[in-house]
Amino acid sequence: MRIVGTRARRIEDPALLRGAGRYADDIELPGLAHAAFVRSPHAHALIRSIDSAAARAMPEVVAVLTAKDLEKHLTRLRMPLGFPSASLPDHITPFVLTPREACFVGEAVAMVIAESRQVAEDAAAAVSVDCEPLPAVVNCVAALDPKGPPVRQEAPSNVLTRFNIGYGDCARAFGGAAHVFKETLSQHRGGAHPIEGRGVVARYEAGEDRMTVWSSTQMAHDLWIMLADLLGMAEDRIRVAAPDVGGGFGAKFLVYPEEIAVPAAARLLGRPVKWIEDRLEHFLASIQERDQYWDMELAVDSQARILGLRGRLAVVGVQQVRDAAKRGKLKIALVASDASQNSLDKITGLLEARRVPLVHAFSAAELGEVAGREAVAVVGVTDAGLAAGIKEVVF
Amino acid sequence: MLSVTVNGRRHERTVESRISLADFLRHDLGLTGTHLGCEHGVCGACTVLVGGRTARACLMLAVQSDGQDVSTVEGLASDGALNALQQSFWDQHGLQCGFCTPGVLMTLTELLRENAAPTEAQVRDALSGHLCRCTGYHNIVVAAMDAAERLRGK
Repeated sequence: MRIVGTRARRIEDPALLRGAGRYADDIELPGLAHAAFVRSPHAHALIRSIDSAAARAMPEVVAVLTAKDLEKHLTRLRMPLGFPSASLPDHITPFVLTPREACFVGEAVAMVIAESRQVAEDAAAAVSVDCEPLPAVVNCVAALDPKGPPVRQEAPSNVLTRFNIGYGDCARAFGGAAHVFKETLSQHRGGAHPIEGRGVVARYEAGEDRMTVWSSTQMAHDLWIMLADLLGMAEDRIRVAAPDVGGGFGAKFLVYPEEIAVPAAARLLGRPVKWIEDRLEHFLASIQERDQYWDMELAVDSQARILGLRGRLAVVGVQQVRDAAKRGKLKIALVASDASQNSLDKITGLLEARRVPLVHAFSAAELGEVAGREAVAVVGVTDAGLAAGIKEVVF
Repeated sequence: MLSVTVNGRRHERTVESRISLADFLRHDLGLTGTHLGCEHGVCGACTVLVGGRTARACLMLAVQSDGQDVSTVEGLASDGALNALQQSFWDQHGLQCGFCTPGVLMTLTELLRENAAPTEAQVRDALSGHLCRCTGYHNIVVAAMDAAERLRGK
């Protein structure tokens, strides 16, 4: 059978062309209730209190749930880190519903469940959230100013992480360059905006302890694992289905708080629950391509051939220690006692293979203090005298 | 009491006055082929024909369709067989995720009824009221031109 070069018609098209596709909002279930989220109107605020009495009193309102209500029904309120990485701390993920602090316009503070979407939206507007607005930072360069306001009060710093990537001998390229050009570049944010926004439908069958979640997602398997984790259910009790998905473009390539909140509400209330993101919510609460600010330098020879390209970026962390170890220069390595497993996986195997002694006596914060950074996973020592001194103290 | 004919079938329903035609079609009549992308008249996914003319079902209240003939994507195929326009979309890969497709098909239904031999520029002009994130529009235009040719050959 010849496939390459032949015209292949897609098997899913006839249903989509007849209007018989099945996207998240097309799923109807008996007893289905509808969710709307109460979202922060502030870029940064502390939540003092939430008064939902008026919303609860409205006809056809089933429930108003806050972080406090959901917390009891989840193993924890904080989302897991989607892409665990050595360069990212794990205390920076969003909450399923934020309990104390809202850090962007659109962050979900509460959810309303009602007999219809329109009643849920009416009631969401009737939930009164008493907020204390805080100074906001809306530009990532401004966020680097240590004297500026914190983006998130609970975080030790606005600097999430620093990392270094590159190859080649940049110093030599720039040293021998006939001309060096400098340029500052910025790349603005962008929304993904699939024509179908996000959407979640969840049904919990108590008799069978079985959860079924339909989500307009590009990450059904990750959602399945995270649901098991946060709902405290065995993986074989949960089924996640991605129905027809009306585009994703990366915005559906992660697991969102709403994808946990809706199933949690369905289990708590004993009714299937549907939430369909509207376009305004997509602007506010779906991920976006990041703002980027680059300070770049370009080295060229007299014929304008490019010799090197570099940006002035902070340089510290795991990669340098790896490089020094590979060159056989490391005498000893101080590994943070509280470094994430991921950081350790990246470095310890190499260090052990090179017979570099490891010292686990210090925390990441303590190592950071020595290195002049927020937190450091590993510090390599190349100076023999200093290494000997450290060995004397700790071993 | 709202009385409306959809795809040749008459429906009589009581409906809250604030419900849009799109929500009425989708949730009251179960015709979920009409999709909502933006709910403010920009994306065109909810386009249907009301009295034979294209209309944004998200910008029209259900009660405004009282006494009217409404056509949706579900009415295009007969006995499950795709019509010429739908067949061209299948053959020419005129869709990917399919979410914008129902609205696009309704607009092109109107265009091809009024203009049996549209130029590519006229097709693109008709499509200017639709947002598609997947295809880059090229294959939608190819499919529309193919459908026009098919219909002329009939």
